[in-house]
Amino acid sequence: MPTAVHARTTFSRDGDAPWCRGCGHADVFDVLCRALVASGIRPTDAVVVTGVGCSSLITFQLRSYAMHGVHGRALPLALGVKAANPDLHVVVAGGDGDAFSIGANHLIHTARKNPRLTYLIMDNQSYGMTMGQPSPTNVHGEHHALNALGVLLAAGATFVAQAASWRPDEAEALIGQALGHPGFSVVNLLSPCPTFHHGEGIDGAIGIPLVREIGSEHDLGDRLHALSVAFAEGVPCVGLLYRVERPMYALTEGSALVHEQWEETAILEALLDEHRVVWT
Amino acid sequence: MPEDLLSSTAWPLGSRQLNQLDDSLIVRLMGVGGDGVMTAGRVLTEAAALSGLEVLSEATCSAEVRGGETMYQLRVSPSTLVTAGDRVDIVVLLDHEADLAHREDLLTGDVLLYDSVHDAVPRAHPPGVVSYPVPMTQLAEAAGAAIAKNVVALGVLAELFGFSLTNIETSLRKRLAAKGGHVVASNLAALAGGARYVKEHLVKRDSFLVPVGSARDETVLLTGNEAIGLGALMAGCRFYAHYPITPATSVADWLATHLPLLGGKICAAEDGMASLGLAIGASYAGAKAMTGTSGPGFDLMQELIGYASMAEVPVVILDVQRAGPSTGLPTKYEQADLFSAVYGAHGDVPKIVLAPGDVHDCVHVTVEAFNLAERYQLPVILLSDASLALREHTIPRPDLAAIKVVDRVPFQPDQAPYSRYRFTDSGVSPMSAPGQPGGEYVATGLEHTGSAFPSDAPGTHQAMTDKRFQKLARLEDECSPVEREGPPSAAVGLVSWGSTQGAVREAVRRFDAIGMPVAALYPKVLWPLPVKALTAFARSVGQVVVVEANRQGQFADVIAASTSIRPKRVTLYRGVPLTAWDIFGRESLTH
Repeated sequence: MPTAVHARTTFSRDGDAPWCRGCGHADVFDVLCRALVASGIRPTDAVVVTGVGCSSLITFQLRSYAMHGVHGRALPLALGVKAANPDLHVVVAGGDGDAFSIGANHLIHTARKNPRLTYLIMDNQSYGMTMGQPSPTNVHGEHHALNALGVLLAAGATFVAQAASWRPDEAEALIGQALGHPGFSVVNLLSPCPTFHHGEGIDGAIGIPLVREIGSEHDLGDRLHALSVAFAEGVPCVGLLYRVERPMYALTEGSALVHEQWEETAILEALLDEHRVVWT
Repeated sequence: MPEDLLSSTAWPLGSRQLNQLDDSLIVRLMGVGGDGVMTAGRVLTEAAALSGLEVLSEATCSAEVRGGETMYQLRVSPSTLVTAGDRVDIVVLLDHEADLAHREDLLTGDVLLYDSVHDAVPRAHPPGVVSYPVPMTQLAEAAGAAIAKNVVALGVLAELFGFSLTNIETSLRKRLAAKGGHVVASNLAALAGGARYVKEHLVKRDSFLVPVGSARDETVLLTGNEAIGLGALMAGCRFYAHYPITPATSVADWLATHLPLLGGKICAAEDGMASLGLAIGASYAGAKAMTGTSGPGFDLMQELIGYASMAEVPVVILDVQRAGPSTGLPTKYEQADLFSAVYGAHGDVPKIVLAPGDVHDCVHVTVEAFNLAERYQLPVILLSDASLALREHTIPRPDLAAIKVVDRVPFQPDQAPYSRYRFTDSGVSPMSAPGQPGGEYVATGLEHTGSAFPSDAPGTHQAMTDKRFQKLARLEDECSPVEREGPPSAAVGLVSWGSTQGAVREAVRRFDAIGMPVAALYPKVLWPLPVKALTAFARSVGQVVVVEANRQGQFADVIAASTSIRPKRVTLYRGVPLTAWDIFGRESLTH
């Protein structure tokens, strides 16, 4: 039953949230709204694009523009939005199934392109809406668990962080940094599913799961070090793991070029001239 | 006579000679990949166009970049052309490997021109064929351009049949300029070498000559894929996404050069799903957007086609059809994606399917595709094909002032509170774009209320489905380009869609020439089916016969499912376009 009531901000609608009691997604949603407000972004200029599933229900809680897409295709939709109007603030959100299973191809190639998008992966290691089947990041599943941070680093994301839904202030700060990053910024948000995975979820512990803080001592541009942290044994890390600047995807930069009607006509006539047959 | 048309064995089979009764000249260039068949064909096409001739070509190649048979056939005429012809006058063989399948098309008096470097291979030309062996490879080597035997062949064609050497040179210079002066010089030497060889060594023993051209109205020379790109730009397309796939890629190639001139963007996606997702995202943000693909990519797009329909986002999806299911025959021709265009995507999906019939249509039907997508806020599928993609045609220069461009119904800020999917008489609701204050909403593929909130309440789904379909209720009255030709009443009424139109047009001309009453109808909007136009046509003819290049008779099935018409079918699916002879030369149109 929807009971978690989120904090009211300029970004969130009034009323009950659609998630189960104790679901991390409700906290992630609140944190996202707060970070957007703190970053000075107006709902009118923001587009939040999701796939489908429990996590993607955030779209219907928002006052901003949003696309509730199809499973796995949030990133292409978002990239299209940003390319058509680079002035918009585009945030992508979705579950770990969206990111690492059905949409994994898009994640890899969006990271390579490095557009200015912020991607929040709400990682509960499961497909909650279909009753909790293990997702690719599930450490208790039949197959080897995908290391989310490792994949993001390998694919070329230029901002990689991990946060936890039960540590909201830290999560808000990391999302805020991601929103300001000039490039593809990803925050993997550990967001437990209490309905299907209580007691066996993030680290196998009952109660508040343990994490280790990455800290701010390391060189943020050292990808090999970031990989070693990502793959270290033990409880999950939280914090900013990696941040570099690389040329951004040209298509999503600059403002849309708009011509006057007469200019468009002149250009089109010139195009026709290229194919014109001049008799000789 | 009408009965004869349908079932007679007294069909005028001897009338193949009618094929010869026109003033056109048809040249077929043959080779294997890497021989430069396509380049030579395009140069010859442009040269003939520059001489004031109508030119229409047909090209096909194998899937391999090197090796595999390549064919380029062009037909030149002082008068209007609707096909590249179902006969051939002159065959040019740049490689003997390409010989076998095409020799049988040569009749008495036809010409075979070939590279005599292959003289060691025993050749059995059909009796009565005039053959001209030319040492093309040696002449190319002598000119300092060993790979330019295709250009040598152009010189031979110019000297033997009267193609303008000056115009060939103009076209060559244009194409080779970027490769440097020495490449231009050696190719021009190869051209001159071919011409000189004819003067010094050959005696003309055939009767073919290029017809005389004349100054014409303003004309442009375009491939079908270029014409689609042009139509998209004219319609206001400012975003194109694609993943490389034959035979759609050249649309992207053309747009990559031209879309940015208008402030548009072109995006290379990681797969077909991303490609349509990108276009939908761009359209949601306010740009007129399109994606282009072929069958395999089109299959991948079906889920997002349903999404665009449900979320009411305008988008144009170009499917340049190729042959066969799966990988099929990737470079070959077929019209077999109609079912997946019309019936694809799960659920009740309102969408529009259009098909251009020729290069002229590739411009204008593409404009219409955007206009319909924007007007009705739904996915519009444009079904082109491999033949249109590669063919070149001289068409009247499109008149920009006469092209009507439609934009989506905009959200007005005073409409607060904004209800994105509110019910209207037309079913079309005003659409905001991100950045507009007060227009915020969620575009969603979940069933939703007028305010875009998810709802599975009884009644909501039915009401919203009706709303989305309501948009199409007046489509045929508002826009349904249909062309009809032939006598007002006829024993047989041919119906075709897409590029089969050319073969049907030519067949209708021949039926008319022998006094047989055959009419034809060419719908451009295939779905929703133009029921009124089809029904009126069916009333004016004895028997409707649907001619199409697929096994199942897909359009015939669509017609039979939605009307009381019971069409007969002519279906061919050989991987090459239907010809006029396939229709005109049939013993019966009903078998």
